[in-house]
Amino acid sequence: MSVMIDRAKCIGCGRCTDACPGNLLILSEDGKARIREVRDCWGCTACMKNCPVSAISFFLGADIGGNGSHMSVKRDGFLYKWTVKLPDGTDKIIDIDSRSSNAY
Amino acid sequence: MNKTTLEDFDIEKISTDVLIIGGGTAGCYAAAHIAENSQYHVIVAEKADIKRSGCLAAGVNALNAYISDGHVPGDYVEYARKDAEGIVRDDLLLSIAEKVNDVTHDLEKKGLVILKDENGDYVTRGWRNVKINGENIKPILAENVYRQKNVRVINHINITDLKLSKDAEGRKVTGAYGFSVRERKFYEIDARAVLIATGGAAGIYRPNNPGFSRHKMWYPPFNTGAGYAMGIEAGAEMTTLENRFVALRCKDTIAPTGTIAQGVHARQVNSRGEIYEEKYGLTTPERIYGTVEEKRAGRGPCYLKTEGISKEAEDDLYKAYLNMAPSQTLKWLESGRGPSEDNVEIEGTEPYVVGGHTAGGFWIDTQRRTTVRGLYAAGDVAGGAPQKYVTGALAEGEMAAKAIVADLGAWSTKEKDNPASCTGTVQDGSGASSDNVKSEGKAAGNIFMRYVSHFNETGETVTCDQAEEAMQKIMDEYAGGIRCDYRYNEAGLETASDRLKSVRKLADKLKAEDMYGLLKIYELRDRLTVAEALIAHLYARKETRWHIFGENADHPEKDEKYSCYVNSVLEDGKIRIIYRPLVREHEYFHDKAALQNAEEDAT
Repeated sequence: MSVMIDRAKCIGCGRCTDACPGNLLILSEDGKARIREVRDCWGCTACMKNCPVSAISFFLGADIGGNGSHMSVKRDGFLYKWTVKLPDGTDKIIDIDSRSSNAY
Repeated sequence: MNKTTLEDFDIEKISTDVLIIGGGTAGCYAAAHIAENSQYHVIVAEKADIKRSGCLAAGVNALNAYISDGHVPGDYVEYARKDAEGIVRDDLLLSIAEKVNDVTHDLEKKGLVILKDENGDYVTRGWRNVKINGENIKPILAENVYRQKNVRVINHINITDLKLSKDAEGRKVTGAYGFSVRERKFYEIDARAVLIATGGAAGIYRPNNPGFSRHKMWYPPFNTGAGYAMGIEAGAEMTTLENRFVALRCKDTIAPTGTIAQGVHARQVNSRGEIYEEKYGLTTPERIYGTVEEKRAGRGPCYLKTEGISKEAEDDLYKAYLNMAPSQTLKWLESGRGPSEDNVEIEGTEPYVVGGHTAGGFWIDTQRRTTVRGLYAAGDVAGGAPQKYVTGALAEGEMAAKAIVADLGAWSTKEKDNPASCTGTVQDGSGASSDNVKSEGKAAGNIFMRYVSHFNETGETVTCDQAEEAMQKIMDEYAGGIRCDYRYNEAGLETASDRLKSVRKLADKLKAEDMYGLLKIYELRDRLTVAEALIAHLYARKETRWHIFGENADHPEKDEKYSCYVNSVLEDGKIRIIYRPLVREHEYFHDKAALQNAEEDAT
């Protein structure tokens, strides 16, 4: 499991590089963010939540069941909109209101 | 290629009243508490960025230590003591249990969402657990630190060594050394008091998914045991490291199982569909022990039985996991089969040393002072009080803060009254300058040259990754990792100890390409120091007190002789084991009597 960065969307603001608890994200010479080593991601998604343009998405390695899907999150006020893109091109969306508690 | 020298780096010298190493749960809370209750200046030194660092980076979905109506703090002490087969500090547990509700209410005031019923009371899961939306719990704690005017947060700095000095009253900690993980810059920080709040240690053992997803682990892979390592090297006493923690998790994603087990009342079943949890018991180690034993008997894989839960419950689970372990939700969605259709496979993780769940860590007094003057510990790095979790770590941060404020005040008074025995406050930035104060241990020059040396190594064949894998493999195979169903014996531990020495030699010769590379090397060094101490502790407890956490194959039964703490101190490069009697009182001091009572055993 790791993250990937859409270089076309990345605006090089560096917020993800600050947020990563493992110091794994850095800005390349061209000003776009990249991950130093894909195997070192913990999967906390802190970078995704701090990205203002939703350029970062999250995927599972094949060793833990990944089959090509990836997930991104867009924040809108109190709402987190999580989108899973499946390999067949379909999307699954889950909205989470950060003002409401977990049921479990 | 030009040789790298000390001149290639900036050196920043800083003086402060209080240095907090680690801006996680306990560290952030302690910083705010000191700032709100004194005029002292505080520095928080954080390896990443306090906004999203440490255990709470992804969020947390429940507060697991809360005393609900009808219960008293003593109930919590009893529960934790029983769960740990007696090897706990009653004084520490009680002091935590008396505070967990206050810190919970404080967090709610600061913006944490806690589920309430129609009467406005918290909705509890069991009697000691409240349901929250904890996705943003770390940003809440961090914002509270940034609001304080006397706190300076230095993000992206890795502290490696404590600064020690000696005066008329003996050794004390007077600051720390470290380096920036981004720029070519070293730090020397003088402080009158130092709080260690660096968390526990992950990555000592080979993880569940050693390949691409090697960091998909329960505990943050970035918590490397730096605090334990610094404390051990400074001669601080450690306790109960052999009480390792292993978590029962959803297979592969290593996501929490409690949310499913308690949320939808899923039972543990083997491949034949038989509920096996009752056979082995319901404590965390027993749940894992049962899972391991069922597999050994050929009845694996094991699952949490979720088949048949409602679609509504399934949706709630998707959301709950997005708030703390998003990979599990992704796994369900991308496989096209959620928990209502498929049972969730479970497994035990690799072992960790973590004082917030089990009891391994610094040996502290009731006020959270370590055995070295000027050094305090709180949160996962502090030992003796298992099951403290988030609220317990906050409570400990607050208690350590109180002790620091009180001690700084007392020391100032003493210095005013008796300038001849001045303990050398370092606010002038000149270091411990009094004639009565001698620096102890390693000097700044030596430490900085050790950093520099890694830039001049050739590193032709062995990389940091390789050395880390070597360490994890040794621990896995000879010190009771996943591969041997968590079992170890004395012969294996001796082999592990011997082989780790070779890895230590490799670590000294690793090449750093940049500051991040230097960070990786120091993380490995920290882990090696913790691994060596852990082996000594595993060796010294010649019994099996806890399944899984300490599965001693040479001594497979519990032995009442070991109803005591196994403590250790590093002296002249050797780990000395100290057996201490159990503390059942409400207050414990590091006094001479306690030392004399301790039974010692040099190994």
